[in-house]
Amino acid sequence: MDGKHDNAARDVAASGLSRRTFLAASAALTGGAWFAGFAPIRAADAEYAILGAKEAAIMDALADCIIPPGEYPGGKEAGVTRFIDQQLGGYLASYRDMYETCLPALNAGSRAKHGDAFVELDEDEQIQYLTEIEAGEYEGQSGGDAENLWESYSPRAFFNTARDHCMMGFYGHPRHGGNENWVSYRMLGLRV
Amino acid sequence: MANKHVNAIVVGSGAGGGVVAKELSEAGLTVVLFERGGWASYAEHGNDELTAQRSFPLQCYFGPDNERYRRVAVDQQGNERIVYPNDWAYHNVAACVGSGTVSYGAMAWRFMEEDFTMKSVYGHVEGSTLEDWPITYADLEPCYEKAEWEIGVAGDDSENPFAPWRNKPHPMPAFGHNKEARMLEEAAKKAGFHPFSIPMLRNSESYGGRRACVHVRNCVGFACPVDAKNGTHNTVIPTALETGNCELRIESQVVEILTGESGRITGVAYFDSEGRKHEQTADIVVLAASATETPRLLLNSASRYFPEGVGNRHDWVGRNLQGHAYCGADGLFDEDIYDDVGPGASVAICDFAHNNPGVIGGAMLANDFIRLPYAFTGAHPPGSPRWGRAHKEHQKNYYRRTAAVRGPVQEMPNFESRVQVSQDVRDHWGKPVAKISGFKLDTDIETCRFIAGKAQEWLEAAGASEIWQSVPGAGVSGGQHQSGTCRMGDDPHTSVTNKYGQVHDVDNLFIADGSLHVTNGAFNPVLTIMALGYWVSGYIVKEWERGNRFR
Repeated sequence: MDGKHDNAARDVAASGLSRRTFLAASAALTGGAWFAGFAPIRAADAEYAILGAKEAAIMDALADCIIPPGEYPGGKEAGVTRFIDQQLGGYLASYRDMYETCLPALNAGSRAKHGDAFVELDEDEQIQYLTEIEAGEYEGQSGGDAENLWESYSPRAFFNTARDHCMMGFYGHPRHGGNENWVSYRMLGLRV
Repeated sequence: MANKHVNAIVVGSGAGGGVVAKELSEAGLTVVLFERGGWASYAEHGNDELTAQRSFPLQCYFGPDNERYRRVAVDQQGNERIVYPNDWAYHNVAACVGSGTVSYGAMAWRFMEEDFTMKSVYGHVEGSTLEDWPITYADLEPCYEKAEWEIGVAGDDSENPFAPWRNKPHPMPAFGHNKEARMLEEAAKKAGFHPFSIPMLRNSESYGGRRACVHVRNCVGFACPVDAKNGTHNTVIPTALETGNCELRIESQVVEILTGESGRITGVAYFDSEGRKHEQTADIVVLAASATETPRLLLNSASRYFPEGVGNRHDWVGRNLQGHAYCGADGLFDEDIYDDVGPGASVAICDFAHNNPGVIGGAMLANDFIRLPYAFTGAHPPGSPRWGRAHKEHQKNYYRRTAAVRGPVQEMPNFESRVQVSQDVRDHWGKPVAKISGFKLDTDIETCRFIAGKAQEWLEAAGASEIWQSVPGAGVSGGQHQSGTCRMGDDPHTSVTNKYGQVHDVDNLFIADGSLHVTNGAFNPVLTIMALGYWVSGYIVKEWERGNRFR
C-alpha cells in the first residue's frame, strides 16, 4: 500500500481534528434554544468566505476584547475578523473546525453561565468571561450542555489560539486581511 | 532522457554547498548543484512578518512548504507528533537558492581557538560526547579569510580583545550603531565589558558590485530590498554558474544516494518539480543539505553495502544534534531608545564566550535584532497581561523602549540528541521523514543562567527600569543553527567523516555543512560552515589536481 495514504490518515489523527462537517455540529447543538435561530450559519454571506454573519459577530466581539478600541482602532475595526476568515481558507485551514465549533460555543457557554450570549455581554462582562476561560475554569466540565458545546476542544486552548491569531491579524502585514491601513504600525510610530 | 554524467554533485545550495559548487567548478570540475527550492526574492516576499523566516506563524516564505514537508518531533516524555515547517519543533532551514543565507541576520563570526578544542579546555563533561575537532582554528583560518573576502564581511576586530588572530583584516569597515546600540555600547564599557561592532555578511560600503546597506527594519528573516546582504545566492553561486561548469538544478528534491557495485557511490536519485524521478551520476557526491537533511539522506540510502545507512557503520550518523541554547535578558527603559535604524543587532561582547569560572562554555552576547510588531506581542515582561487594554498599551508605550541582549550558549553534545528516520511517516515523495529527539544537558542550562545574569548586568548598566531574564527549557536544540550530526574526527568509531569531510570508508562521498561540527561554538555558525565549504573543497581540488578520482 502506498505509504503516502497511510501517512495522510496519520496526519489527520495526529492533528486531533475530526472530519465532520460544521452542519453536523450545528445539528448537535440545536438543542440549545438560543441556537435554533443560528442554524443557517452557512448561508451565503457577501462579506466573509468561511465565517457566517453570526460567527463573524462573535469573532468581532472577541477581537475587540483581545485588542480593544481606544485612541487607536481595536481588533474589529482593524480587520482581525477578515484576517481570520481569510486564513481559515488558507494558511490556517487546519483551525477551521476549531473556530466553527468554538465561536458558537463561546456564545452559548456565556448564555449558560451568565444568561446572555457573549456578544450581548457588556465589555466588562466579556472580559470577565474570557479571563475565566483563560484561567481554565471551563476545562473538562461534565454534565449539562457544556461538554457538548466545546466538543473535543479545550476552551482555554481555543482562547489562546484565537488570542494569537488576533495578534497576527492586528500586527501583521495587511496583505493577509488585517492591520487595515497599517493601523498597528501607526500606533507604534513606525514608518510604513 | 538520462542526465549527463558529471564530476561532482553538490546537494544543497546554502552556506556550505554554494561555496563547494563554486570552488569545484572554478577548478574545472563539472558540477550539478541541487536545490530543493527555487529563487527567493524581496520583490515577492516584501516586508511580511507573518511569513518571514524568523517568526513564521503562517508559513515560511523561504521554504520549505507545509504541503510537502513534515517531520516527527519527539518530546521529553517520548511522545511523537507530526510537525510542519512553520512549527518551531520542525527545526526548519530555508529551502531556496542560498538557503538561510538569503534571509539570515548575517552575523559573520569566526569561532575562537577554544571552540575547536573544547574537550581539551573543559575536560570530560558527564553525559556528553564532547571532543576536540580534528582540525584547529589555524587550519581553518585561511578559509575564514576566503569566506570574508569572497562573500563579503564588514567588521573590525581591533575593538574585540577576545577575537582570534587573523592574517588579513575584514574587507569592509565595521558598521556603526543605532541609538539603542550606542546606549548599550556605553553601558558595556561602564560595566567593564569590551563592546565592539558585530562582523556582518552585509555591505557597509558597496562591495562585489552591489550597494551598501540602507538599514531597513526588516532584515533578519527577510531578503534584502537593495541586495546588500551577502549570501551564497548573490556571490559564490553566480560565480560558479559563470564558469560554465556548474548547473544549478532548482526545485529538485534529492531523495537517495546511489551505491553501485563494490560499494562506491555512483550518484543520487531525485524528483523534479513535476514529480518525475531521475538519477544523476557523478564521480563524487558532496552533501550540504543541513544537519537534519544530510543525515536523513545517509540513513535513507541503505543498501546491501550499507545496511544501516551510508557512513553509519558505527551508528554515529544523526547523533550529537546541537543548536544553541539561546538565553539573555530584556529590559524596559523610561525613554525612547528606538530610532528605526535596522537591522538592530550591532553591538556585542565576547567577555563571556570562554574562561568563565565554574561554568562550562559560554556565549557571545549581543543586542537583539529589531523585534517586529507581531513578535513583540510575546516579548512583554513575565506576568504582564497577554491581551486586552493593558497589552495594547504596553505595545504602544514600550515598543520603542525595550532592549534585549542575548547569546548563543555553546551546548555540550550528547549521543541521544539525534536525527533518525521515522519508521512510519513519509514525505510527499514517499521517503521516511526525519525524526528529531533529545535534550539539553543540565550543564547547558547552568551556563545559560550564568550568561543571562551577565545580560542582566549589561542592561542594568544601561539604566533599564525593569529587567527579566530568559533561559531555555531542556528540549533538544537545532533550529537554524543545527549542527553536529555527522561530525568529523580521526577515529571512525566516534565520527562520521575524516577531517576533510570525507565519509569514513566511502572515498567519493563528502559532507560540507554544519553536520560536520564537533561542537558548535559560542557564536552563530554560518561563517564557519562557509569556511568548511572552502576547507572540504580545497582538499577535493588538491586531490583532483594530482589525479585522484576517489575510486
